[in-house]
Amino acid sequence: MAEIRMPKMGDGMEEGTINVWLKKEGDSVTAGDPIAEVETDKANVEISAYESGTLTKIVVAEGQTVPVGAVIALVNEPGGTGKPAAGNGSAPAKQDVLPVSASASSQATGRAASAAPASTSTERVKASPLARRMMTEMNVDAMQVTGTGPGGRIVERDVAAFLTAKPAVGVTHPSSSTSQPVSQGTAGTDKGFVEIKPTRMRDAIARRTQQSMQQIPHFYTTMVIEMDRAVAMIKELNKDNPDGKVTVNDLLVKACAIAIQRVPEINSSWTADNTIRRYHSIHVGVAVGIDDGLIIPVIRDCGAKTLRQISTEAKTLIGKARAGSLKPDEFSGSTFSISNLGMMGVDQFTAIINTPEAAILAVGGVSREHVINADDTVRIASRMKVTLSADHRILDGVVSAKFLNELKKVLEAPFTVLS
Amino acid sequence: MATMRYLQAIRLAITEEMERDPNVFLCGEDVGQYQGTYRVTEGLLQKFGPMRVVDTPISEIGIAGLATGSAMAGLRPVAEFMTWSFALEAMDQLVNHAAKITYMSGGRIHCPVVFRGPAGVGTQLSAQHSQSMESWYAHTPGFKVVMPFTPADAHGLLKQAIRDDSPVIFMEHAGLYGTHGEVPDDPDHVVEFGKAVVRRKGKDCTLVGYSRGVLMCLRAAETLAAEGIDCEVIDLRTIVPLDMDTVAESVCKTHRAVIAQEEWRNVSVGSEIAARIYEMAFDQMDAPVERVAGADVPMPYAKNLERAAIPTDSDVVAAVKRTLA
Repeated sequence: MAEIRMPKMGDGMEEGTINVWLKKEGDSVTAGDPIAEVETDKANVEISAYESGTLTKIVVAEGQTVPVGAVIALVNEPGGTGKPAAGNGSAPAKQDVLPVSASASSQATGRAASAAPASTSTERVKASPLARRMMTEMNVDAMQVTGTGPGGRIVERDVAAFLTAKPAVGVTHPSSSTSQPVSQGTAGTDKGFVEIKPTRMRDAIARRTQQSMQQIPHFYTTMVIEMDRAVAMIKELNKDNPDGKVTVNDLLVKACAIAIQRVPEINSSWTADNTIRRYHSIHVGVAVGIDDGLIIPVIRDCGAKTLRQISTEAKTLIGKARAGSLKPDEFSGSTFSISNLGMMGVDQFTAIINTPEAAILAVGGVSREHVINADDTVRIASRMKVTLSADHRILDGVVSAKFLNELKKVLEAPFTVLS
Repeated sequence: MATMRYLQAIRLAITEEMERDPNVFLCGEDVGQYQGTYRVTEGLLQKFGPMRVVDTPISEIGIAGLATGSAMAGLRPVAEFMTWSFALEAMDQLVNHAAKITYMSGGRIHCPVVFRGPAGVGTQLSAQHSQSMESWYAHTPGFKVVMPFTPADAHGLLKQAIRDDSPVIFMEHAGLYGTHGEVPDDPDHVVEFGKAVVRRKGKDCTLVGYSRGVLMCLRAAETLAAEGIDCEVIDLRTIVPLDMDTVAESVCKTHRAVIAQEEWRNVSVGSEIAARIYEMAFDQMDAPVERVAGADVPMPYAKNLERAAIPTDSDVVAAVKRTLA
């Protein structure tokens, strides 16, 4: 009897929710067959059987969340001695297949809970023994609690704060990826409120942005870049190739990669050991807004890729991001990120650094503006404001300014990216 | 109740026990004619005569041997070491004889001896005289190890030590000899071994000390109270037996603990208490147990280095804040 466990798909993954079983109990499976779709806090991913045989038991029902490493199903190898759990084999499809019976699902919870400490996850949640006991007693999921103790350790006050903040809220994850109202309240003639249980993605965003803002000393530098030549160049390029249109964003990705090659300090991380790690490859993350959240697919090795290659790849990744079908390695490992709200009519904004990167570029829209020339004459130009949020542990104002100047040079002489 | 100094309370305890029991006698260097190096035994030679207040040669192994042997023979000696540092000379008598004879004789021979003298760290007494070695004795099965903080406890615990049938290591603190406190008038006032006392009630963090370490804790608690941090201070009184129930009960309330001691940190009383807290109350802890202790070096003579090696109440304050971080 082989056990199928919740796989770890990506660095940050601690647990996953079974969205849908693609196989029923009693179905035969071949190694590599997709058997279920799993929702992580980043994406929906199909997982495959790694043993061939008969799916004898679904341990975790659809909608349930279990930690990485927990057993989710059992597969009986051909010739194995285990009996299919669904019955004597004469009518496997008739047995309670989906959803699994109540006893099976409570057993699943039990298994998941006892499997948690033995989880293969290397990112064990740090919590004081007292906090750990309180969370067990109150049935609180440690992943939901923000630790404020030394090194992010969850301590008593964090659990207490969590319990006070969410008295009416269940502590299990929602089974669907959309936000759900979980309770309503009214006070006197007040119209009241509704409490929304955050989705897993919302949770992940909350945790990561809070951690970034609390732990990284952000500073911001803004630069105005003239975009007339860049816009004209893109127009020309797209005239010749109407099927695969290059966007301002694609150009930005390539231009940032070139600027990073010239100012490589940008391409760094501050590590847990208090060292600075500088990366040789430039992997650019592009923030994509999706339903109730955002995700940052990564275009790898942008220094070595042409604008056209980047553009094609970006299109595929953004499409997958919107469909929720990005694979973990497609949204992790970026060394620099870009967040562009220009198309939403935003003039200028600041972004929160996407840890563990050293900087993120927030891009505003291109607008036609009056510009006063050096000789006090006035002309009209297309201008764009970009703001770099930088980690001051790694970068200083001068380096940040240097990067923005290089970016400006590239975008104002855009044929650089084609040469 | 009479108010007296710590050293007077010790003298009173010895006097009362010598009056009560003719088998009790005192021996040590300069305890008689010289009236005691710290004047602890002042007037006792005059009161009890040279048969019961014995001035010995300068030989710690001799003092310990005399005391151990006479205790085995049925007397109740109170042997003074001029300081506990000098007792190192007598280790074989102490560890291999006094501590073991009850066990090796199958309980037929008792050794009701009290070894007493000043311990703790001093001021510019340097490496060979300024050290606190209670863990050596606490580590050795067979001893009871007593370290009083107040005059009343010095009185009651010493009387209990003299009445106890086991060999007792009674460590006074020279730095506490001059401190004042009320001592019960009752000649049968004894303080039971293995009963820690809560010197200050609090809810945020448990401070555990003994001997002068309690003073560190109380001062730190005072400082922290001004910042709204409410510490509970426990005075262990005896290291062996160790009253972990009182410590655990407090820790279950505060979920944090700091142990303060003058002796070295490595393999020390604080290490033992920390380990036992984890054994008894692991899932009550909200922060790692903190230890405040002497620096792990032979005590420097130079004033500035000495200051850096001896723990203070501000170290306790910092440790408490770490548990609350």
